[in-house]
Amino acid sequence: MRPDIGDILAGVQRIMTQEIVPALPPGYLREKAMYTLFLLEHCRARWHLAPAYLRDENAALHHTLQRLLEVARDDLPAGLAAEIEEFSPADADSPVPALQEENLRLREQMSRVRDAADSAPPRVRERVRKEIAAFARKQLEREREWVKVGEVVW
Amino acid sequence: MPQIHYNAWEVEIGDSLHRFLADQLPQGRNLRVSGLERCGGGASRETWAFDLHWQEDGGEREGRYILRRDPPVSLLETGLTTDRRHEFTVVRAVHGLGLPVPRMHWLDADGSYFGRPALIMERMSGQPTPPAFPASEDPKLRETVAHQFVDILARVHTAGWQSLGLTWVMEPPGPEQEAARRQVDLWQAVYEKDRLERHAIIEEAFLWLRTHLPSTNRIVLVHGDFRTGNYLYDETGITAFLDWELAHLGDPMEDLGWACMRFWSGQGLAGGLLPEEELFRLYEERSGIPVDRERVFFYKVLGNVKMAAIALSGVRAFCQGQALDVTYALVGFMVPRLCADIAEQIGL
Repeated sequence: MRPDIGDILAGVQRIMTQEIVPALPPGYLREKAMYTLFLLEHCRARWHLAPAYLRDENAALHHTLQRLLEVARDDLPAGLAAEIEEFSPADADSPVPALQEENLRLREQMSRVRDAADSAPPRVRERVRKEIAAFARKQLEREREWVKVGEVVW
Repeated sequence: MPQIHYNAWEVEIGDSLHRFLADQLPQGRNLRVSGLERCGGGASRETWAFDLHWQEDGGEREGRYILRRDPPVSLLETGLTTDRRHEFTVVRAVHGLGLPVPRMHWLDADGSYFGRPALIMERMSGQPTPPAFPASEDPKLRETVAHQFVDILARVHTAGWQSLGLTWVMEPPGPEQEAARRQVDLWQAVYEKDRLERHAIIEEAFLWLRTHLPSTNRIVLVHGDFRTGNYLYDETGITAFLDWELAHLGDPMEDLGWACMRFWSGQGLAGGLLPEEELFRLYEERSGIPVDRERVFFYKVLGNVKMAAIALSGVRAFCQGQALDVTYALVGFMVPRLCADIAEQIGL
């Protein structure tokens, strides 16, 4: 496994920092090279966490969608309710692209539930919004942690 | 012709520039472009600085210029930003008011010279700021810049857009909620077009915005990106206000909300310049327009959503290989912080 992805990214960063960037003229290209280094640092610090991140996110989405189904089943289009009900999560050892695909699909379902709940009775709509808000707060915590290395702060 | 070529785009731009300028200055002789240099910074346009020397009417002429060309895929392609004549016309009109903006010289609206739409404007002196005014600067300079910042905004808002000849590039919104609704529609369309995945908080924010649309019957010229980070300054204060491509007719509170977003505040100061209430007081004093804090708050929420939509447009361009610019990936890292502000604002 060695060099692994982390070794390679760290090595590329060293080459860029010590040889390539100093050889560039000050200005546009050097600035872009520095931004590239910033992105490489993000990748080096996060690549090994991506599967766990996606599994957590997908589990939270799945859980929230099941709760939404309990709350609003009668107000959802039958096809959407069945989609949510019949959804089977990817295996724990699925590759990242499969987890990403699942994530996209689950996010889409959640948006469709919210849209459908717009025309539901106020009590149902309110509960749907609360469930989605609870999910969104947790999702935000995950995302803020994810971009901690690389977040642009001034 | 450019004297230093260190890669292909410089040769390409240098050749295009020479052809373009020769056609724009038919009386000019011995045109010579020097110091052609790609500039960093803004991600919405490709920018080059250059000097031009030529002879005309028996005399020597020279000027310092900026060339701005659309990137292969713009960070955002709204109805406002796709037509380069829009920015060109607005800045010319504002220049006519005596405000510190670059003089617009030439326009290649259809990209027939530069491959993509481009404009050439005066290169003004001064240094750019980060999105919050640097805390390390002299407090007296900060105060000067802060006052000029508010002065310029007040003068833009009180300019009387009807007399500026802008109606052919921008249509005034209707009464009451129309100005706010139009902006929400615009940025929701950008979000829907460019998102690669759904974002629960942004979508909640659009619902909130639609149920909190404020009314106004005072329509002014809105800069659309009025904030620290979009002006140049030196030891005398602001030397140039830039980036007018999002200018439109709308609610004056929109620029105030955008300028006061936490996202570009520093040390608790709006834009790193002055406390928000002080900014409002100065603005009212200079413009005579009362500040409606509820409307400002609405436009702060919209501002965070708009910035997130712009960032997501960049992410799409980066991920799909349409933009050769890593900045487009980095702006994606801003989205969680914007969403944190939105969640707090709308009580999520």
